[in-house]
Amino acid sequence: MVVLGIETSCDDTSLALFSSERGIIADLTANQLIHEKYGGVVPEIASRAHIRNLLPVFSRLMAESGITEREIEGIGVSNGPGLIGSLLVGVSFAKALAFALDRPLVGVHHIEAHILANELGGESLETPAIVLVVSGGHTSLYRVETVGRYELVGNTRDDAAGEAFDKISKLLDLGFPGGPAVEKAASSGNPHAVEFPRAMLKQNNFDLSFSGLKTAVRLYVESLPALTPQVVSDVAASAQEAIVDVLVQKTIACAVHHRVSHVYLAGGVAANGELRGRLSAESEKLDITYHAPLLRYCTDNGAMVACAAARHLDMGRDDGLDLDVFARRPVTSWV
Amino acid sequence: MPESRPETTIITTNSESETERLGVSLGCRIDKGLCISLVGALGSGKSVLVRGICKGLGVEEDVLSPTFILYEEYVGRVPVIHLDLYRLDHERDIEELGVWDRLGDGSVVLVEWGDRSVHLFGVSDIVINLEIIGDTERRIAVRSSSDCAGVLEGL
Repeated sequence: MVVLGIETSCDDTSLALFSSERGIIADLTANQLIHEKYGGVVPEIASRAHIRNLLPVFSRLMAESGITEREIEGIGVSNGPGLIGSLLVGVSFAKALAFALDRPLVGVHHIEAHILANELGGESLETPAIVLVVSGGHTSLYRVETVGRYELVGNTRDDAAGEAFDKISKLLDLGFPGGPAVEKAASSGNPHAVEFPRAMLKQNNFDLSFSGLKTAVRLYVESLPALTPQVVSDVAASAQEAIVDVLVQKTIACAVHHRVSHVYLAGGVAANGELRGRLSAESEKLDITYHAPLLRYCTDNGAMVACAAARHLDMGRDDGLDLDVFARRPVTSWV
Repeated sequence: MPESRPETTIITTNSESETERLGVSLGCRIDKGLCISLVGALGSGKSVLVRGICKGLGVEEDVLSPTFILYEEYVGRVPVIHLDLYRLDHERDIEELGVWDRLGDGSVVLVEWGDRSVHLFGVSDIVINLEIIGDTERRIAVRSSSDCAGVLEGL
């Protein structure tokens, strides 16, 4: 089955064509670099940019794929969680196309799509597994019994890890998005230069918290006479170390508690090299198999949406033209 | 006619949980829709206070940072709208969120970084200023318009 995937939940306009038999046929993303200026995603600007980007991206995708619109057999679109205005642009486009081509349309939960991005490398998800979903808007641990059965077993109490990266980046004047900026600065810093707090590690649950870290970094930065490049690198490295420490320890403890032998990363922060390296190493020590999406499929992308949609369409699902959007909701099971 | 003047209460909290408790007790006193602006630097405890206020208002769900999605609605004794203007610079962006429709409809609207919107700030019934005065100490000034002064009584 050839499926078109549409992703507009935040600032990237991303489309892909995916075939259940052949894998990714083509994928294309338009990034909205304009947000760099604002240090974050501005909804008004994001929605308008999606409107401007969608049709040109779709035309180019079809041209590059070498297939015709009539060959699209189903359409999947992220309908939440995310920015409502941005989601509406993608969903409206998806509905128009589904109506014009007379094809089934399914709404895909953005987080389920991130989880299934792990299959874009060609291997099926190995379950039961614990998945750490970590991005600008989410930091959650899911137990995945099998594809389609999800249980939220841990969640951030306040800020998402990606949000902590963004805010710390802003405090250090490193730019947006914060994840890659902090990681780059950290590469020449000492991760043990400053002992930042690791929240919730002593708690007997799998919830996380990153709000206190942001405050600690702020207080530390303000106590310094000057921010030299070396100090910035050291603070970036130490803050990244604190974030990665908490994410890795919670994920591993969760995997052990749930007696699973597979852990997966998902979401934009899954592109962080330190997180990938550390989770991989710690998993290996306990004979747990570590998996992560290909780097290009960590950030928001249409390919993961198409891949997840194919699963739903295979079951004969069609949400039709009544499909709605939502801002926040955990992934729900469907099998 | 009595002069209508704002009332201010200043409270110092010594820990995150004290700040949250202050929020709970504030939330418990609110019995009608109103708009509260929270102003203070990154890490001053705005989100913690909001979490407390939401608990006091009977919200059972976890209240998370809305920085990413900007706007969150919870169900308490009254509808609770949680806004975070951290990313926003323009009134137009705020208008797009549809906040104006929720002022005066019986909802409690909580606005973090409230000073970033001249309009929202101007119509706020309560303005809370949070100041970092030590690692965990915060000076919290709660100013209310005269018709909400009862909310602050004995806080």
